[in-house]
Amino acid sequence: MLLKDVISTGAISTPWSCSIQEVTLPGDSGFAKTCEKKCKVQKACLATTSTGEGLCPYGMSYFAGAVGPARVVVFGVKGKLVGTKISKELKQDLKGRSLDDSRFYEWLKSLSSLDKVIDNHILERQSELLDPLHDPIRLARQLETISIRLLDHHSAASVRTLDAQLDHASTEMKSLVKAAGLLNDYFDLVSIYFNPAAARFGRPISTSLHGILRKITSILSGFDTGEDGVRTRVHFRGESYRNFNLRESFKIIPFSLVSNAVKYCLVGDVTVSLREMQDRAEVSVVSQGPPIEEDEFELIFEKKYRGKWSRDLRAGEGVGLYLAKIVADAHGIEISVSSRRLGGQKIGGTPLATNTFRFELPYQINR
Amino acid sequence: MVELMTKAFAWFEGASGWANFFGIATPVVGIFFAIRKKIFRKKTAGFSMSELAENILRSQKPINSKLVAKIAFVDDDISDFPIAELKRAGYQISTYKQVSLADVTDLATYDVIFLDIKGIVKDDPEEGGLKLLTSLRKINPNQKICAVSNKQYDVLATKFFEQADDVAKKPMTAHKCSDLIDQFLTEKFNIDQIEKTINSESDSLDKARRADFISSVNRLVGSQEDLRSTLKLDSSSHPKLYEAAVDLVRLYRHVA
Repeated sequence: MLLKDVISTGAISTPWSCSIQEVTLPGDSGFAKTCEKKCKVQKACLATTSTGEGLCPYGMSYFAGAVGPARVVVFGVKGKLVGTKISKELKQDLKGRSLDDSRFYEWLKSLSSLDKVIDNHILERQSELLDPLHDPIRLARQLETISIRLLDHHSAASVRTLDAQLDHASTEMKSLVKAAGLLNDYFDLVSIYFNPAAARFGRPISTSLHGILRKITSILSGFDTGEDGVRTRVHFRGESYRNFNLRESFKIIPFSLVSNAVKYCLVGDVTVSLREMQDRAEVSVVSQGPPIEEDEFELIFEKKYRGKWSRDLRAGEGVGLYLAKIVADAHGIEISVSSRRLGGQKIGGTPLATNTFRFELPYQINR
Repeated sequence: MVELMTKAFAWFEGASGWANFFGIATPVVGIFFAIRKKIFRKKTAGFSMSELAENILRSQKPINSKLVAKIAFVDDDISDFPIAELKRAGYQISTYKQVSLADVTDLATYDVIFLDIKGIVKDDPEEGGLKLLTSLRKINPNQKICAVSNKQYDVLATKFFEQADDVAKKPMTAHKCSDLIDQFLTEKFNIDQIEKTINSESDSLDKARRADFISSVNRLVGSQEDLRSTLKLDSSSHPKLYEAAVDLVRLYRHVA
């Protein structure tokens, strides 16, 4: 929301003293003397969570409401709760500062309209700026289709599955198929990054979880060279012949978790395991890398957040796990994290830990 | 007092003939009217919708949805779809590079429609796809719509994707396309579902309109008259019922 920034410029006047998303503005008549004297450091009215009119400890009214997710509080005014039995000093201070519910809500409505205009403008600009993505996405899809056809064409008739064909393919062919697959997966990540609603697009279709994990591990295994020049391998363990009702976006979850594990893997390989349980399947991604502190278990799924031990280790934007969480939420899946330090082992000053990302898929998901 | 009681007894004794008459006549007349009503209804309305559905299910000839269904692709770049392969596979395909918002009534008659968002509507190249999709949904809620676009990253296109039955990216492979079409047709030509829709939606019709509707459906299943002009039902007030009845008649004619 840019509303607070627009109002902070002073180009748009505010009739009363107010706080818009924690930005405090004096308004056309300036702050009331009582507010300045008694609430210079912290204003009690701004800490309340109620809406509508309230009375502050110093006898002045405040009005609270919201514009979208932003809280708006008008304070230091004379509403009906102030009453008539007030000190001369307060009476003088509140002169010309009368406000009632209808005027306050009318003002909030106009702020909401302004907020919508700003938001629409941003969305239109974003839409224009992203327009050049349209053709590359199309070409990437074409590239992937052709690369898989080529791989199929060059594979022996007895080798039917993609991962088996990749195992037997030449280095160039492997790179072509993997790069084309990765390119498409990255475009899917970009789509959900700019439009999180895209995680819910389309209907869930019967999908082989085993097939998705197998493809992702095949593509990501040994594809990227780390900063230390070592290619991290990804091993896939487990069997499952069940199909799950999943949206197309689902693959982002294992893709993000595995690519994150590959990126921060400092020792050994990454292991992806699939285990069938009584009423669900469990997927875990295990690697050894920088530890994740317990208080970061939720934070690492926030946009732009990067772990304390990993932020200086590799370049990154802090979006992979955030996108995995968006897609997991769209499917009603919870991703859990655990990080266990490996004694006092360190690599270049970074402590080493076994990090495990885990999620479960009920057999009845989306049915 | 005794005189009064004697008079009352005498009255009841005198009326016992009437009591017997009403006791016997009431159920007899009731049964007569019930049978008459049933016979009368049968003669005027022909088959009930459930009977028609049952006849389709019991038919010796299986439903070949490829022969019944009409599929449209609306996209400014038709080469993104495997049209030739789909036609070879036996699907009845029509393609449109550009349409007008006024064409929506014709487009609503397709069973499955693949729709792009941008550049397909002459009158509104930017948002025409979304407007078209919204109108199609209103006119024919039973139509299966696949939103085909790579603009999933665009927040402004969210409504377009959310209103569609499914979403696909371009270019589409023949495998993906035929899988989607088959899935759509299985759902759309599900006789049990069509029957359920007709029965639940026709409850809102008054007796006379319901009778007209059933009679026109019966007339249509036995003839080759034009469906949409002959069906006696206001399609704008009851689009779901109208389209379900159209599908029922088409399937009945197909297996007959």
